Amino acid sequence: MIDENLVRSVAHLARIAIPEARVPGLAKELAHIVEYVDQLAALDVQGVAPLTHTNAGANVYREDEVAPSLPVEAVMALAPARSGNFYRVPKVIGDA
Amino acid sequence: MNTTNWETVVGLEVHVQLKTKTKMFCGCANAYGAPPNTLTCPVCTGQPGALPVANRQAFSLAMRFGHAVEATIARSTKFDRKNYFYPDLPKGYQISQSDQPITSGGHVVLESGKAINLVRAHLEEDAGKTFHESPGFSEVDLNRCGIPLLEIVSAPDLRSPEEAYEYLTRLKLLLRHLEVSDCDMEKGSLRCDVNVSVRKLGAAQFGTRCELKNLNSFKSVERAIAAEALRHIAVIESGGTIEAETRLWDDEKGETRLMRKKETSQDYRYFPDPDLPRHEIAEAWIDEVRRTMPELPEARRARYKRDFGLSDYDSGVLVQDTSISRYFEEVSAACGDPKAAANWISADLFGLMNVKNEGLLAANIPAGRLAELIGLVKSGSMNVPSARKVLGAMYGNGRDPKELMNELGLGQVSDRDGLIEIVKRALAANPKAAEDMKQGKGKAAGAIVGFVMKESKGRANPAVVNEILAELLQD
Amino acid sequence: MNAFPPVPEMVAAVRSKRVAPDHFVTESLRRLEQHGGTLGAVLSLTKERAQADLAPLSARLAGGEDLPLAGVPIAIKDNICVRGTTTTCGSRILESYRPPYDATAVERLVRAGAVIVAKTNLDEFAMGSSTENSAFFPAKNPWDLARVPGGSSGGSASVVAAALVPAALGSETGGSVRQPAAFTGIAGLKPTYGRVSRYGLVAFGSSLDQIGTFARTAADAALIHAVIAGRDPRDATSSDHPVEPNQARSMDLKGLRVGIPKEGHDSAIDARIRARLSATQERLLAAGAVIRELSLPHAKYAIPTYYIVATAEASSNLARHDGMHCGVAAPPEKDLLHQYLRNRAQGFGAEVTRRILLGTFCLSSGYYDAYYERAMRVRSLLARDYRAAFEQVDVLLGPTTPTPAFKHGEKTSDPLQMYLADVLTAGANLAGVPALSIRAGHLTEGGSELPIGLQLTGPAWSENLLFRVGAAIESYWPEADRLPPFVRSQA
Ligand SMILES: [Mg+2]
Ligand SMILES: [Zn+2]
Repeated sequence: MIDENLVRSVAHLARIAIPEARVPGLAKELAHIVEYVDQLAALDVQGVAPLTHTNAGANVYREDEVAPSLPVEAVMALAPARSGNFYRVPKVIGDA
Repeated sequence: MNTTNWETVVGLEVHVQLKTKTKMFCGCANAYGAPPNTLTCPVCTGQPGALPVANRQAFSLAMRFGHAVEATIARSTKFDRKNYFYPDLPKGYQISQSDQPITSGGHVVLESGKAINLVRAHLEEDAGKTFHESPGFSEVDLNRCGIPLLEIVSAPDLRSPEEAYEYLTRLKLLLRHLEVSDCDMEKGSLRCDVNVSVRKLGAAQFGTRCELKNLNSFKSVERAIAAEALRHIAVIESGGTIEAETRLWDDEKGETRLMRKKETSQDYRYFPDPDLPRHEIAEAWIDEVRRTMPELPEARRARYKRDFGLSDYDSGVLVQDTSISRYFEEVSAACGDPKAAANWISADLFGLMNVKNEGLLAANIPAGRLAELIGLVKSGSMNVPSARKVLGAMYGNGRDPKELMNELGLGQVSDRDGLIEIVKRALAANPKAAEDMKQGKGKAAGAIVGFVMKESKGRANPAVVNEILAELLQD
Repeated sequence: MNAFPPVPEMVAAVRSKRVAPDHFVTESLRRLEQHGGTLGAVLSLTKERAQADLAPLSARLAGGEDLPLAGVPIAIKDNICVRGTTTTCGSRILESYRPPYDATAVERLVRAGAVIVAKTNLDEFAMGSSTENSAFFPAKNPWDLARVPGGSSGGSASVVAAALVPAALGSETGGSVRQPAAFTGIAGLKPTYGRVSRYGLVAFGSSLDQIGTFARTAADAALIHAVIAGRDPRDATSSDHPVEPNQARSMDLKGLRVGIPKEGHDSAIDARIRARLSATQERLLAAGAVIRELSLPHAKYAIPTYYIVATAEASSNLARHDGMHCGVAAPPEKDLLHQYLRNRAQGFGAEVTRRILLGTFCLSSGYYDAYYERAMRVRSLLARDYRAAFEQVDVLLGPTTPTPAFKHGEKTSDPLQMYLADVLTAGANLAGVPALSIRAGHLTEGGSELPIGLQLTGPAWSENLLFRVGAAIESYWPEADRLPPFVRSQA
């Protein structure tokens, strides 16, 4: 089921450039892993609820009270590229 | 092109920013207009390791809206991640609600009585703001990132641009009234995506729809729908087919243009956010929100007409905004005369605010001060034209009206001794009118009183002048 | 070189002013500087931060503050944020990242008087079982430098085992504390999910991740754990379940019901490890414990379930590492799309890339139900197994790993073989229950003494019970107190 095209489309969704030469190898590795995890298909999970949060209580809230923000310099110092106190990113046209 | 046998079908997705003090998942202030990236923290800038915690008040506000539109409020809900890459989304996903929205159903009723059904409303976080002005690169400000949003999705029940406009207007009035959102499109606290399709009248199936973006006012929503519907009809009538597209509205040209085809639908890979435990919403909380709801605009308007005898116009204007209603009620309680309070607010104060294009806050006239001004008129200390001048002088500073009246020399002259002299002079200067009045010709009083008013620079108390006149003419 | 004294003795020495407040910190920094490189265990020394936190220590002690970890040096896995120090996650993409905040666990340690001395090596973004996937250099096992210390918290395990620090924090998603603890002969706790705040732990699989503690003994680990445990308003998944006062002493085992999952005696497990498990069972029996064999029917599905859940969550968690807001960006590209593609291709290593792709696949449209959703349902079954087991017994005992520490390069060519290193540990993460790996002596292989680890698993919130039973088992193998040969030979 995992083939080279699926590797390419998944890599695009994940925004990771994969060199074309690496695609066949990755497809094989992933197919091998998927084949292994496919053993779950044999289990009957009808009526079993997914476990999304272990030990979780529910209803955890913050009260609506302002807490100090970070100094702008502390945030902007981390930016790989900045333009004054804005993050600077390649030109955004339509969708990324 | 014959448009009469076509029907326009519209559904709206409205995003409103909730009026909380803080963001949806962190304690940064929910505020507009701060310098870039000053309202940010590890959580809303997506720093590695930071975690979200849900804002309780955002739930309360969403429920308040749900009650007002008679929606079903979820007893059990959760947050999901919507995964996509964009520079205004530092985590690489938006926390939203996919299959368990906080409210489902409900409706907004138009003037005609037609109910526009709602599909759902869900909580999510806003993205940051991207600026495209610089050549070669874009700039991102994350102050807006993480502000709570309620996304309100209508059914495709709207049948004309005008209905869409009215729906938006009513939704806005309601949300502002409930103090759920400011709904200020200019500041981005209300944003709207529009789905438009057309079909032959009587057809059972909907046509292919296009999504319109870049709509900056309710008027542009109305115009864009009209233009887009015409485009659909023209394409279909000339034998073409409409394709599912996202289109941008160009307000200057008055047309929409292609942004992207929809066939490559995005795969957002929604899944339950493991960082946020479920929300089991207690009946008691839902009830508490219901009990503490602000009065809805229509109910309040009816009350103003019934209890205060206000006109259609005044009551309509005074329920536009909760802060205005509250102000009106304070003024009228303080001066004991709701009708006068309504007049002064809807005619005079709003007049001043309109000229300056400002709100109540900028007007800065405490309710107590306006009530005092009204009191000064009622007690005869000042006449109406003078009181208008004093109101103008109070605007923006909220100063004491009595003080201003004295400072500006606008107090009404009721002092008999002073006025008798002026009236005597008026009779002397207008012997004909004086004679006519003695004969009982009431009309002649106009000239005499006019003279007195002129002499007193408009400050003479007309009641006292009439008294004096009557006495003098009897002698 | 000797081991550091037990943590309570260190604290007592500092509090009573028998030694200067910086005594152990200075010694630890000296050792780390001298040997950290040999072990490939240290990514950075946090001297400045250590000085800053030491400075007020005397005054705090004089002011009568209760400082349960006064002057205790602690190393921190480099995927846990320490303000102002680099926190790389063993990845190029965060090579120069200096978080503007402290993880809650770090904040609590410092508040308790502990001093952060080093950031330790790990598999990139904690993805791996050998610390060979670090983008910088592989870490080594102090018992045999040709072998791995386990992973992903291999650096933290290595520095504690080599007595460069008395204790360290690591993190677990599927065994990343217990497995390296077993490979290096020390104690390593994976707490109950929700017991320790994840705020400041760079996320891998959010529904599985927990910060864990390494120390030479269960008793020392218990002390550290008590400081970092408890509800944190900044982590909505942290629990307000009360934290019991630390009881770091061994206990009377009479009547203790110990379950032995039959998976622990599976033939795939090294015979010498199985023999050590049997010997331990006998000692427990002799001490009055009740031994019961049982089974966790879905245990064999733990690894496939784990690899779906963890990678799916990781594919979303690691989306924020895009070189746009923090971290490292590639040279400018022609447009936004290519900038994303290049930043992330350049920033992530092979294993991280593989797991992001696998996780993206498991969540993608058309596959979600068959993979992510199904795995989350199997997870329920697994959690049910544990609940059923804990109706019959108080704790479970078994091996931590199927084999002792393996050699560098032994499993790097086959990702799936590496994944199977977590076969005995991942179940506790999926079920959210606590588990403690403790040293149980050594075996000899190829001329090297290699530690054996056994693990105790308990119901949610039973950490204190695990520490106390663990301390008892440690006492059965006193020769394990010896230091690795690498350390013994040092001055
Ligand atoms: Mg939305
Ligand atoms: Zn924030």
